[in-house]
Amino acid sequence: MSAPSAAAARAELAAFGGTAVVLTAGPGALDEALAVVREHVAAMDQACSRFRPDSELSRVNAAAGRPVVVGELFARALETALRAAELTAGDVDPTCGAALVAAGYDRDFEQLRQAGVRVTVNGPRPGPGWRTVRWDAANRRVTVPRGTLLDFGATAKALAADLAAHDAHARTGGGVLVGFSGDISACGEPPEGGWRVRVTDDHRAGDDRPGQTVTLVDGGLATSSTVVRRWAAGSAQFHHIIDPRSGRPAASTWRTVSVAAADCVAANTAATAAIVRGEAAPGWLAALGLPARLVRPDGSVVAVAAWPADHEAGGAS
Amino acid sequence: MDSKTRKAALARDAGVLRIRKTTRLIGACAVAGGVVMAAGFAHLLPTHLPQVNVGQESGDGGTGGSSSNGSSGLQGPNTAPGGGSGSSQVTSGGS
Repeated sequence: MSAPSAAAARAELAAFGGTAVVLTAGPGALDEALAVVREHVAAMDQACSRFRPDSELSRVNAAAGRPVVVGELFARALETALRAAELTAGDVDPTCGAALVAAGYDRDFEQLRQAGVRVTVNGPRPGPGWRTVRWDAANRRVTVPRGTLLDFGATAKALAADLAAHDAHARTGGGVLVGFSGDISACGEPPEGGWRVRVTDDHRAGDDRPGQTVTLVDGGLATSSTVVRRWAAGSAQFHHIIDPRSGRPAASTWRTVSVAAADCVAANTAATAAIVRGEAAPGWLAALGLPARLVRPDGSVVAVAAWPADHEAGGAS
Repeated sequence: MDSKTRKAALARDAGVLRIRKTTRLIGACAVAGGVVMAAGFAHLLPTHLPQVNVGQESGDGGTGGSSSNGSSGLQGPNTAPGGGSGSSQVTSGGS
């Protein structure tokens, strides 16, 4: 193992409706890493955006029960989403697209949270369940039941982070960290002392906001929150993490959950499932050995597994 | 056997024959209908159920090297996060 570099280079770009950050352990690798990340962002957006009419996801959702042959990246995103559903016993389910639409999340979120926008909310639509998706892996052919809308919101961005970080590391040979709106994947030798990551409610927040700074060496770190992607319809408030069984936004036992895992997909899958699981989440995460930080609506923090102690004043989130 | 009885026996045999032919026709139609139905709805039969290889290698040789589609499941990190201080380089938060 080579000696870790002390300097790191940083770049930001807009991606997936949020801010993406690319860090390289060596400053000379940043441009190349950035190019790799841009390629992955464009490819994943083309494959899996729910709001692009020309995306593969839109084509699959419009097929209304007919089989559709999909590309390699979409296939990988679908398999990742189905796997997340199985590993979480259905807490993270890709068949919740119609539930999101029924809750009013039927357009790009930047449009949804504009003042004065008219939001149409219908009754809850529980997800039909990931087992209703028929996937012929050999022929890359997917069949989604009529009326079911797939949504890869819980896994596609994290998968893109993992793929981009790995490819950027392979291309540059140095340590790379890729963060897509808070879904972070690190690959290769980090700077001395590790990557310094702030965990907090909003990925756009600065260090002055309540939270905790940790160091990450490799793997994934992801945060799911019910306080950022929110919208209102009349007096009712909604957020984007759907409980598949009820078709409604999950109860707010936790306002924010951060999880570290072997990769970003696992981290984000666990963080989203923890929001859905509510009070059972700390025990579930501990049993899996996933270091996690769970924040209650009042700001109190529960640390799980090997999550580091919070030495900031008050320890508040 | 008188002619009346013979006629009755012939009528009985003819009836039995008609019933046999009708039964065979119905059977043939049922088989043909089953074949047509199976062909028409074959695309709805699962040829490959969603496959999740928990605890096994997936053999996936696709792009990238993430273990996301491999055997890792929800595995913990190789190195747990450590305590940090100073200004951060990146933020993990809700989006």
